[in-house]
Amino acid sequence: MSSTERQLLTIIAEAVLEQRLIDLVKRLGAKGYSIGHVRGEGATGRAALDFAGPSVRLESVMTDEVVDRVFEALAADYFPHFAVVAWVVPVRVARPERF
Amino acid sequence: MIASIIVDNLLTAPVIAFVVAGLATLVRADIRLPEPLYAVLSSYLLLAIGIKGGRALGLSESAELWRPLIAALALGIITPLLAFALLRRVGRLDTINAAATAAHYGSVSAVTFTVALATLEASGQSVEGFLAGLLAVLEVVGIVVALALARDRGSSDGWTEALLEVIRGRSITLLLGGLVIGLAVGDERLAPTDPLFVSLFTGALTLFLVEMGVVAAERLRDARDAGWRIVVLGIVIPLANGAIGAAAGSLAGLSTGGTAVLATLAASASYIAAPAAVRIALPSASPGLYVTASLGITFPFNVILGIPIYLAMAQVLT
Repeated sequence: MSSTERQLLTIIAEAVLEQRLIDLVKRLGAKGYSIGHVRGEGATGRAALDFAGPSVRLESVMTDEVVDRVFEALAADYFPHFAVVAWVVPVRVARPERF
Repeated sequence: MIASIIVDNLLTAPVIAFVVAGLATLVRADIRLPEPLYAVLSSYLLLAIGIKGGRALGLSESAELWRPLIAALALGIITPLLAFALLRRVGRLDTINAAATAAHYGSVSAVTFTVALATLEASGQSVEGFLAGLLAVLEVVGIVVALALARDRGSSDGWTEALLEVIRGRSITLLLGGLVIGLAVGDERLAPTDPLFVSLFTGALTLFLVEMGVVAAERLRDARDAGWRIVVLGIVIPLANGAIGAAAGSLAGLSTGGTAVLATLAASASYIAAPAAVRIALPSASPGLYVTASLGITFPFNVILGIPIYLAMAQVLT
């Protein structure tokens, strides 16, 4: 079976942003996502509201264009004030139309 | 008189559990309960308070309700404004941080409310059941008023979103859901649920306060970063708001127990609904300030010393 390149976006963010980030990636064109709950520390320490629940890890496989839109939105609305990190790695998928 | 009330309050299982867990955490001993328990217990407590309130609501005359309701609305407006003024003048916070913190003092803590109920019950004071309904009113109004203070500065785009967050949030929904269940089912038909929602209540609250002791003590460690002004205000604001709440309760014609609970509500600071709403509406405000103040300082102060003081105020005023 042939495979096509897509991008795997991972966002780790404070708990309070869970629903907002889901809405964000879907609105900008992601066709699906997975959510996990994780603990840890970042460059600025633990998330300030960590007692409200563990941090959220959102993963979504998407096209380059969607990645760009998500990163732009994150930079505008979330990076300045929230505990959020995000990265992208290239992956190969079967059935590219699903992503 | 206050000393004996303080001792009576301290020697209840939930409060002692809170103190023990807090001390254990401060010496870095691990007393933390399994994590899923926190969510289960908080849902249970909110639902149980709601059912208890709805049941009492069904037994009370609607004519008794309007004055306490007006008192609660007035408190929802006055307490965040007073907190805001103190945080600006004495705390020397900028507008955004003062408004963010004031939202916590305008809103209420359901757990502090619950500890007050348990304390009053243990000391044989009766409390108007409909106060749980006022809890829901106060939880929302105080946040709205405080966010409005910051909105003038044009910094809170997420303001409607934050309000929806509070109104649709789990704490309000469970509380109101409980009220509806209690009201619809009625006193007699609720009897079969009593073993779960009445008999187990204080035990569950005790377990929950073990967890709260851990969380509060962890926040207390951050108090040094927040500065001594915040620490002092974390005690002064609840005392001032509590006195106003006690006055409002007696003016509204509540019993001594009811007045003490309304004073406790006015004095309490939210640490679930308000932080979530403020985080979204005022992202530039520092959670290190408002969470430390409400959870690290005001919550333990109220649970250990505040509630008996508000009861003493109520006894003087009613």
